[in-house]
Amino acid sequence: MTARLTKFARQRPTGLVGIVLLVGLVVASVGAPLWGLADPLESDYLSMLSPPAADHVLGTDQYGRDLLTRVIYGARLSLGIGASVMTLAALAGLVLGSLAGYFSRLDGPIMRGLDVLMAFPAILLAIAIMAILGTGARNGVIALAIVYTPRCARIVRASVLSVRQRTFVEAGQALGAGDARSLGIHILPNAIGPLVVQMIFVFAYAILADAGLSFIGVGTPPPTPSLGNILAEARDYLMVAPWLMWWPGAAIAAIVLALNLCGDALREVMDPRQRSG
Amino acid sequence: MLPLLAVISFLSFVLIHLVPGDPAVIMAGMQAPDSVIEQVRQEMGLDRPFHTQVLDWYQALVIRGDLGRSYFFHAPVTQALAERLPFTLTLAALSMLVATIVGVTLGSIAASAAGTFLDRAILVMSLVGIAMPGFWVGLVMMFYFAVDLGWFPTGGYTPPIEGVVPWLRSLALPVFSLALLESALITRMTRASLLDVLGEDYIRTAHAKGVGHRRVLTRHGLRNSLIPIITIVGTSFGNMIGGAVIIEMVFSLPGIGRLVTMAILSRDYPLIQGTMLVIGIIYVVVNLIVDVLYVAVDPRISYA
Repeated sequence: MTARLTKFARQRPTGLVGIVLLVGLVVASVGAPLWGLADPLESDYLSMLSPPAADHVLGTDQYGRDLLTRVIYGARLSLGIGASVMTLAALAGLVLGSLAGYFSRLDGPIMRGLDVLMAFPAILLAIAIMAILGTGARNGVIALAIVYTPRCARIVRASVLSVRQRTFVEAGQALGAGDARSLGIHILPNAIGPLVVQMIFVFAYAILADAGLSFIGVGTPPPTPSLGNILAEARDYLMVAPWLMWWPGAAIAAIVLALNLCGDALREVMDPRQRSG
Repeated sequence: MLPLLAVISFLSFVLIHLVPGDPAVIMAGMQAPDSVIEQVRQEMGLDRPFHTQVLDWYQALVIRGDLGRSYFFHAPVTQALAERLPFTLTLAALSMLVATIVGVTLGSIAASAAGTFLDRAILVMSLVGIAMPGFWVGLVMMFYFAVDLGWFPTGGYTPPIEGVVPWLRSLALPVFSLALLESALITRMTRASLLDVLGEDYIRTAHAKGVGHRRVLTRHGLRNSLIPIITIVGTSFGNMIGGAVIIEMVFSLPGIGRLVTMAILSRDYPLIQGTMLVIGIIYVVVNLIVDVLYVAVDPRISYA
C-alpha cells in the first residue's frame, strides 16, 4: 500500500498536490465549528469594514462580520452543495444511463429526453429550473443536479453498451442470469469507472455554477454565507473594502483546482492507455 | 434539428404549467384578492383548455412572432429581448473569438514545445484558468485596471456609434473575464489534439521531405487536429451565453443577465419562456453550424 502510494506520488505529483489540497480544504471547512471561529452571522457595528488586522485576520464586512469565518463557512456550504449535486446527478445518471444502455427499447426515449436538457446552456437551464422551483440553496442543488444528469447518463450508457457485448456477460446470461443480475452484478461494476471520474468534474462544475448563481442572487440568500453571495456583497463595497473580494474567490479557485487535479490524476490512473508500468 | 426545435418550444411553453401550484396566484402574488387573480388568469389565457392554449401559443409565435407580454417590464417579450439579446450575443461572440485565438495559439505553442518548461507553464496556467470563476476575475480586474489605474470604465456600456475605442474599452474587461475559462479549455484541447496528430506517420514524412517546422505545424498538424477544437469552440458559445448572464451583473452591462434574474425573482414567466426559447434556438443553430464546419474541415465526414 505504501509502496503504491509513493509510486503514485512520484509518477503523478500534480495528483498528489490535488489530493493534499482537497483533504486540507475539506478538513478546514467541514470542521469549521471546531476551530473556535466567530459566529459567521454575528455583527459587530463597532468594527464595520475594517481592513485585515490582528483580531480579524481577513478583515470585516459591512456589518462587521468576520470575513475569515464567513469564507470558511461559505466554503463548507459550497462543498456540501457540490457533493449533493454530484451524488444526485450520478445516481440519476446511473439509473437512466444503465436503463438506456441495457434495454435498447428505452434507449431512444431516454437519450432524446436528455438531449433536450443539453440543448440549453448549463447556467441558463439551472436558472430556468429555479424559476419553476423558486430560489434558495436546496432548489439550486436540485436544479444543478438536473443540469448535470445528462452528461453522467451518457457516460454510463456508453460504458454499459460496451461492457454488455463482452463474453462474460453473455456467459452469465447463458447460465440463466436475469436482466437485474446481469446488469447489476456483471455489467455495472465493470462500467462504473468513467462515471467516477466524471463525478469529480461534476463536483467542480457544480461549485463554480453554484457560486455564479448565488452571485447573481438566485442561489443561497444572505445572510447565510456562501462564496457567491459574499462576492456579490464585496462587489458593492469594492471601492471602500477591496479586501473583501480576494479570499472568497481564492477559496472557490482552490477547491475547483484541487478537484480538477484529482480528477485528471484519477482519469490517467483508470485509463490504461496512459498508464506507464 | 426540427424535432429538437419542436421539443424546445414545447418545453418553453409547458414551463409555466410545471410550476407547483396555480401560476395565476403565484404571478399575482399570494395576498392578491380573488378578482385580481381571476384577471391574471384570463389575461394569460390560463382559464382555457390546455390544447387551445398550446395552439394559441404556437399560432402567436409562428404567425406573429409574438411571445406574450413581460409582467415586470410592461412590454412585449420580443421587444425586451430585441433590446438586450444583441448585446449579450456580441459579448459572447467577441469572447469566443478571443478565447479561440488565445487557446489555439497557446495550445499549439505548448504542443510543439511538449515536455519543456514552456509547455508546463502553459499547462499550469490553463489549470488555474479553469479553476477561477470568471466573475471573480472580473471583479479583481475591475478593481486594479478600472478603479485603481483608470484604464477602463468600472462598468456600463458605450455603443460603437460613440467611437470604436470607447466601445472596445467598455468591453475589454468583460470579454477577458468571459474568455478566460474557454481559452483555458481550448488550450488544453488544442494541445492534446495536436500532440495526437504530431505523432502520426505523415508528420514524420513531411519533416523528412524537408518541409519547414512552422509549415508542418500549421498545414499538416493543426489542420488535422481541428475537429475536436471546433467541437469545443462550438459548445463554448452556449457556455459563453450562460457566463455572460453573470459577467453582465459584475460590470452592470445592458444584456439579458439582468433581464433573466429579474424575471426569475419577479416570476415573470412569459419573459423566462421567451428567453429560453430564443437561446435554445440559437444553441441549436450554433450546433448546426459546427456540424457544417466538420464537413468543410474534414471531407471524409459526410451526412449523406
